[in-house]
Amino acid sequence: MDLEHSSISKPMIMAFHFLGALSHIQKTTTHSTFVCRCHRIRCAAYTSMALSTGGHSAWSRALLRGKLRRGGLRKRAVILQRPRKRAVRLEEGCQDGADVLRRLVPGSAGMDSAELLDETADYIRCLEEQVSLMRSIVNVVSSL
Amino acid sequence: MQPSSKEMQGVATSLGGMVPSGLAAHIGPHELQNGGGSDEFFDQMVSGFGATWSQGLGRSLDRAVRPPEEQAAYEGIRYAPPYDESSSLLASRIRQQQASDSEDSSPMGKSMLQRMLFQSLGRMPEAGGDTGLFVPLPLSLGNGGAGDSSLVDRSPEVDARFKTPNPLDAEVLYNGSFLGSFQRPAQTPNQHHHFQHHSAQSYGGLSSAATTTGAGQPSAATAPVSSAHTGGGSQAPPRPRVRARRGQATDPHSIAERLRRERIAERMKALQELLPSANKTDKASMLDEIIDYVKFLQLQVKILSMSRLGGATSVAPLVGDASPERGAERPGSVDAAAAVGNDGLTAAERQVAKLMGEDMGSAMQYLQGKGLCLMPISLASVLSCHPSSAAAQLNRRPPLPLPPPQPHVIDAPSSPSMSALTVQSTTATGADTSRQ
Repeated sequence: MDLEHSSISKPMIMAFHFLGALSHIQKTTTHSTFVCRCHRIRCAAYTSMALSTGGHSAWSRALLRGKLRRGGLRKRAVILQRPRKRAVRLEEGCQDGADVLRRLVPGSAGMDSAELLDETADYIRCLEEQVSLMRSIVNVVSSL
Repeated sequence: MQPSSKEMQGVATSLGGMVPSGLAAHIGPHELQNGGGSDEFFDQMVSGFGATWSQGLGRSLDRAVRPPEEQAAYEGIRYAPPYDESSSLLASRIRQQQASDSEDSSPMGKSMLQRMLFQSLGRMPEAGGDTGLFVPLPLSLGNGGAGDSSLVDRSPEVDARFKTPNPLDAEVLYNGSFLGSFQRPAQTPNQHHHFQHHSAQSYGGLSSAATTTGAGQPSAATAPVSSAHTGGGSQAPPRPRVRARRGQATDPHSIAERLRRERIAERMKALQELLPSANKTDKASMLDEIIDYVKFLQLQVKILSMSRLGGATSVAPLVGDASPERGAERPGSVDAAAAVGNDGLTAAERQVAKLMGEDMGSAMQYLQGKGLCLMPISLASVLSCHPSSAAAQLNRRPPLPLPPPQPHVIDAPSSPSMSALTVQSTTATGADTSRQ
């Protein structure tokens, strides 16, 4: 299927990936433990979240890079293997109490405070979309 | 004497910018602090200019306590060789400024000071004495009374033109102000630009002095002069304002710092709109809010992924998978429920399981009619800290205690995410009793 992110909205892409991952998990892990399935579903959530951004933000690239190393993804390999445009900034790091945030947002280790805030905003937006998507799925399922 | 010495200091430093470094070293600002140092300043200037007519200068200065300045300039000219005319005039002007130090003569003095400085500017780059540049300088003084009045008129021009320190404007200004009747010198472009740069600097220093003295406040003049110059970011107070444009040593850091802080403030404002809470007290609290919100969202994803375990089985029909899987799990769910052990509800569970075999909706209604709720067992077990007890296949379970975190977590969105919430109130009592 041809994925034209410009024509298809971001939540649709996210939903597509997430549902596909869910069905995949459903097929393959019927006999796995509860915790394992939880973890896989959570990974699927983050992956679909990162995929929906199209690789524009650093956190999505870092997420997908981590997933790719575990061999969980076959698409977007080209984007991930592209080297980071910016070198890790070590001049200041701007340690103004934002290290907690750096730990929370993936791939934001070597960033300036301004870029960190940008990444955080993008991350929060995507997280909210993912949460609303999962919640709507639960609503659909529980109202069956 | 203090204000005038400051002005002289300004003149000296302006000159120092153009004068060879050796002379600049001579003209130390500290020497101008004391009133008695002014004489030394004159002597140094004179000596630096290579003039040996200090005695003659002194004579001219003695006579120039309160004379018309042009006359004193004339005398200075008469005493000194052409090369030193500017220096002598400048020295005489400075001396007069120091001697008179009155509000009446201050506007005139400033203009004369400017003229002399311009002359010295013309002198400095051309140590060889290029007549092309020097011609206007003595001639400006040669204009005498006409020149003086015109100078007074020109000084506001100097100030006005000074707002845009363009070298070309300075050139026009210079020519317009002081070359009243004499011919304009044919200046070579190289010298001209070099001269113009320096003259622009000196213009800056002097025009600020002129503006402030135009108000008739010599004491106030020095303060704004020094402040205007220090605003340029230079250490020495009387530095021309033009330097501020280029952003000298300390400026880039402060400007970069300011830009960085502005950028961060912008982003914080954008983030604040995303956040549910709307109070921006300061950056630290906003940062804490952001961190808390990110943690909260990540926790929601985790919890929803656990609840999705039950949904994962039901997602199959959504994506067109085979339904036998659902059937295979239902007996398992019943067994698991029985295994977990809530004997009082086993019958109800069996009933629910039977109903679920027919229709999910009927099973749900049955449970709700009993005042029970359906909740994904994965979520319930996790929240009640009994993950091992929850079977993977089981996707629903009769009433389970609703721990406090769950309402808190799910409460943020408006819509209830799980069916458990629909009968939350009815199961509250059950939760209290069963959660002992």
